[in-house]
Amino acid sequence: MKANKINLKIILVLVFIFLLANVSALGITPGRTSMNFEAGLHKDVSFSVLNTEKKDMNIIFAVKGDLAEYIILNQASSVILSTENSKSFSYSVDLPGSFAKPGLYEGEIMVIETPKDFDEEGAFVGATVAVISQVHVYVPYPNKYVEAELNVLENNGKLTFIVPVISRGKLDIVNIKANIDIFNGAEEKIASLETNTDTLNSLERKELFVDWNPEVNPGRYKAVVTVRYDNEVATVLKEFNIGEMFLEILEINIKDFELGEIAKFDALVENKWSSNLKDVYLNILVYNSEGEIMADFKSPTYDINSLSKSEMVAYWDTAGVHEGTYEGKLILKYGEKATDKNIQMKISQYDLEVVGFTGHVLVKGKGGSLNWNFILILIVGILVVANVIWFVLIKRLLKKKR
Amino acid sequence: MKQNKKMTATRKFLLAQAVFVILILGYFYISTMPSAISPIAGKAVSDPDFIFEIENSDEIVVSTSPEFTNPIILKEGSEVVLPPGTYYWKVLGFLRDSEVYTFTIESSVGLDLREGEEKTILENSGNVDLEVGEKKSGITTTAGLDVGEFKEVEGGVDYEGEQN
Repeated sequence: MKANKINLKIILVLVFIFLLANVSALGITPGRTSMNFEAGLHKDVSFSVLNTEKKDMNIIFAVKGDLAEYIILNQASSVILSTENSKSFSYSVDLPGSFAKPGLYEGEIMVIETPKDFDEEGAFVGATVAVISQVHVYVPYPNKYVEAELNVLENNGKLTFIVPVISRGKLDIVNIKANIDIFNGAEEKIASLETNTDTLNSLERKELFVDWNPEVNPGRYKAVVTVRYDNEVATVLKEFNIGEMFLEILEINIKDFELGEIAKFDALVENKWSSNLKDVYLNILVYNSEGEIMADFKSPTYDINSLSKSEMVAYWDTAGVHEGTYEGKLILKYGEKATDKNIQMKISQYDLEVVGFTGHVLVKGKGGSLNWNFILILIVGILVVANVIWFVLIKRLLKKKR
Repeated sequence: MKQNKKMTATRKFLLAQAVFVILILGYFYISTMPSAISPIAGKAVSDPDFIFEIENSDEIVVSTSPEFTNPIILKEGSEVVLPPGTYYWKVLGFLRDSEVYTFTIESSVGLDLREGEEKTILENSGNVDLEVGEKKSGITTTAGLDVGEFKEVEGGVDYEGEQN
């Protein structure tokens, strides 16, 4: 047992734990507010600043961009308390009578988290994080003009390509459709798809769509969307993934765990990519309740053959760690790429459980096979049958009596 | 006279039977109605993780169109990443579907900077791809940072993120 511990301590040369000095986390919603130009338009717009780290923070606001002179913020700074998940603010937009040219005019509402040592003169040392809520004002083009995007949704192996199209011109469009060419990593075209055809009125937004059942290996692909509307063309390029990730962590086992000792993480990893991967390693980050990284440990590097599984081992010295639930991140690094999963670590004296994955919408059904509704329906069903039998018997008895 | 009484009794009995069956069928109709619990109709969602809670079914359909022309069918336990936008959804039942509900996923710009002694990590914690500006010595350079992506960056530098 002692020899094992010494060996583990040697392996721990790979492991480093460090405390972070500063965490800056800031969010803003919506990320963008769009509006079509109207002469003299007045609009009040609200937005929320998100306190993702749930800490006390000072923030200041700034306005930038082409529209800065038309945007009035209702306040210049604010304080957000740790108890507030988000805080709402607002600004107003007062547009002029006209703009010189058609097209997009941008404004930016910038929120900056100021460091604690920020003084009244506005001088401070250290990194700052700022997030921006954009204001987009579209002045219509005199002709036909379409802007397009591409959203790729994956569900049960089927891909849905949604092409939102917005008319930014003053003329209606009588025929619009999109062709989507899919290219693999070697720039070879592997599929060509065509969406539905539609019409699009001036300043209207619609969505073109097409489904695709890909019979290709998981990986990164590129879509080239060509939107044809009347005699015009708009193009969009977008890269997307097929399959959740190239490397997947199938399970993590921590055997014989004891708090305060060195925990051995045995991870079973599957390479779902169609080629061998070299120098793959596992990196686990553990955050404390303030969201700071309290532990950061790595496994040695491994080579994993294509479409095969491999065990990876990482060690964490839990000396000084308290019982509780900690947020963390599992990162698989290979080459310059990385895939990660958010996790929770439930730590007790003799158990360390790694649970939880986030980042997706999850459907959870209620009304499964055995619930109160089911039991009630069963009882009512039995009552109905009993009632019918009873009814038939009574009728027969009455007949006999007659 | 006696026969008339018997006939009335039989009629009453049949009427009671009919009422009983109608009530039972009504109960069946109401209790097996597929319905939605959350997200509440018309709700704006900014949290990237949320759960559809439904009753009397294990299947829903989500679409960006109220006519469900581009339907995404989700079964119990399935996951999908939806970009910001307004969505229509309903619970699919055996004989009938629920009414149509809507929800909006608001775009959210989020930037997390974790500065350490050995490395600094910058992460896109929002639900839209970002263009991140890095300001150093008066020079600003920009780079993309996709949803959920993070990268090691230089410490002591100012970062600003906006929707790409």
